[in-house]
Amino acid sequence: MEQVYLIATEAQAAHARVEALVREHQGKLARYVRRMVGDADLALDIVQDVFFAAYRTLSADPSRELTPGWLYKTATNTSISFLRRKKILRFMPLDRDHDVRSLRIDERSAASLDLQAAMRRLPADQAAAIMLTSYAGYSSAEAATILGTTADAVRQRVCRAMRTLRAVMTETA
Amino acid sequence: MNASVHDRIESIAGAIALNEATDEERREYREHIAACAACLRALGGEHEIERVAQTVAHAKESEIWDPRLGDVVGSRLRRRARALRWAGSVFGAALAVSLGVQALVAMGAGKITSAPPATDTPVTRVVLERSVTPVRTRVVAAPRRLVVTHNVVQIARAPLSAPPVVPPEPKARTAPREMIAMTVHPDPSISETKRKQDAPPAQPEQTWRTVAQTTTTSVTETAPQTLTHYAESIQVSTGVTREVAPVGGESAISPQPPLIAYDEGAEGTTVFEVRVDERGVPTKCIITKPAGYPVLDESVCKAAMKVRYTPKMVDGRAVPGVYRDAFTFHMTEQSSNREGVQQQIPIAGPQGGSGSP
Repeated sequence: MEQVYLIATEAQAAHARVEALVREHQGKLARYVRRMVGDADLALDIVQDVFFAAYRTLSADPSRELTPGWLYKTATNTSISFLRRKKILRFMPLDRDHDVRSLRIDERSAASLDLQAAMRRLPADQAAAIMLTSYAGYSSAEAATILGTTADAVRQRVCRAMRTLRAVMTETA
Repeated sequence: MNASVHDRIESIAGAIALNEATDEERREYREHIAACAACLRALGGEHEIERVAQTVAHAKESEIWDPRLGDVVGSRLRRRARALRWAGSVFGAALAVSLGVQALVAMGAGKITSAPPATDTPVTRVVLERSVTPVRTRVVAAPRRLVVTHNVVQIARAPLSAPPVVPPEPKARTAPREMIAMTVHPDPSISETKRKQDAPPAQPEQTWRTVAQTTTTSVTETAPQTLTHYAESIQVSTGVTREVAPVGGESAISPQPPLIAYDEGAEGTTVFEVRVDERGVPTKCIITKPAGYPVLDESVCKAAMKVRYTPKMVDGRAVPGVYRDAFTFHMTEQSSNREGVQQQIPIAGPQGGSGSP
């Protein structure tokens, strides 16, 4: 009986900790994922998956500390998995209009559209590198930890992503 | 120029874009592009790199999307529990069918008789006879439909008089039933009068009034019976105008109850309100009067949170507002063409349960 009580208490504690994470990071994480996958509804699904994964992790190991980096890492991996699947499943709507619809009218600035158009052309690893650094605000070293690579590799990916973005801006200008 | 040099230059260009490059690295980059036209064309100068990097910052600053996820864990756990229940019921049904088939076989679908052994040969002939003719069972049941009635509902906030006591008539289970759509909205005169009389109400108590009637009709020659439907709230009227309304009209909110709602015969009225911000984006859905079946309430809220709304306007400026509405879910055994019925979701019966009403 006592053990059951303890398990229930741990589950409640994990629930409370995840709620705190949700309150603090839901907006930033959802915007980050939406830029990665280009669809608001899908981004919300992915972010919910991320927070539920956090709940399961904390339920299994209550002593574990989940950092924002862990959330971004899980969100990035889920998004990359989706982007790779999307390249295979070509029947999904991938046109630019679809991407633009996921942005609200007052977010359809030229810069926002350029970024979204460039994001569609980027390989998943470059998209993750530029989003984690320029967008989410991590340094190249922190992004390297999240992505499981080196800081130099992250900088290279950022450079290549910027080259694509520059090409898009030149086309639209 | 070998690949490692270009990799190094790309890494420095990335560092410049991220504003992480040291003075030494910037000097190295300048010296390289001064001698390498290909890199200058591909990557651009330092200012060019920084200008492109600014695009990302501008895009981030222009974002206003700020979704609220609510209780992620609770909703996921509930969804999982529902899935488990559903899987359990499917497994149980499959098990029951399997046991039934086995019982049928065991009760003598095949009877084995052995022929008397011939004296001149040791071979035993086994003859399999069917003692039971196969029976083809067919379940005949009337196709059922779930009627979703869209009510235009405004909840009366001021205390109203006590609801009239109407003795409930027994519902005829055998007669085919049909629900007339309720189009209801608040009577402002009553609300205002009562508000003045009872002012100042410390905590206005919500009182419910009988509002709409449903009648039974019959497609046969049996005498029609009248049933009173005690849907809560409100005052029957027409021509309601709303401060906050869904884009695309009220029919834009289209609840789709899950299949389990049909299995459970879920019926009831869900009264809800949606908080809408100044951009017309729904921020929160609150069930003010649950239907008694969480699946119905959830389907209503899910549908209500999907649509955009025209925001409430005050002095030509959009402000946050509240949209109130209700849906009544009613199981019926007859299709209906009555006005006001928004959806008819067929259940596949033995005849296939066509979708047309």
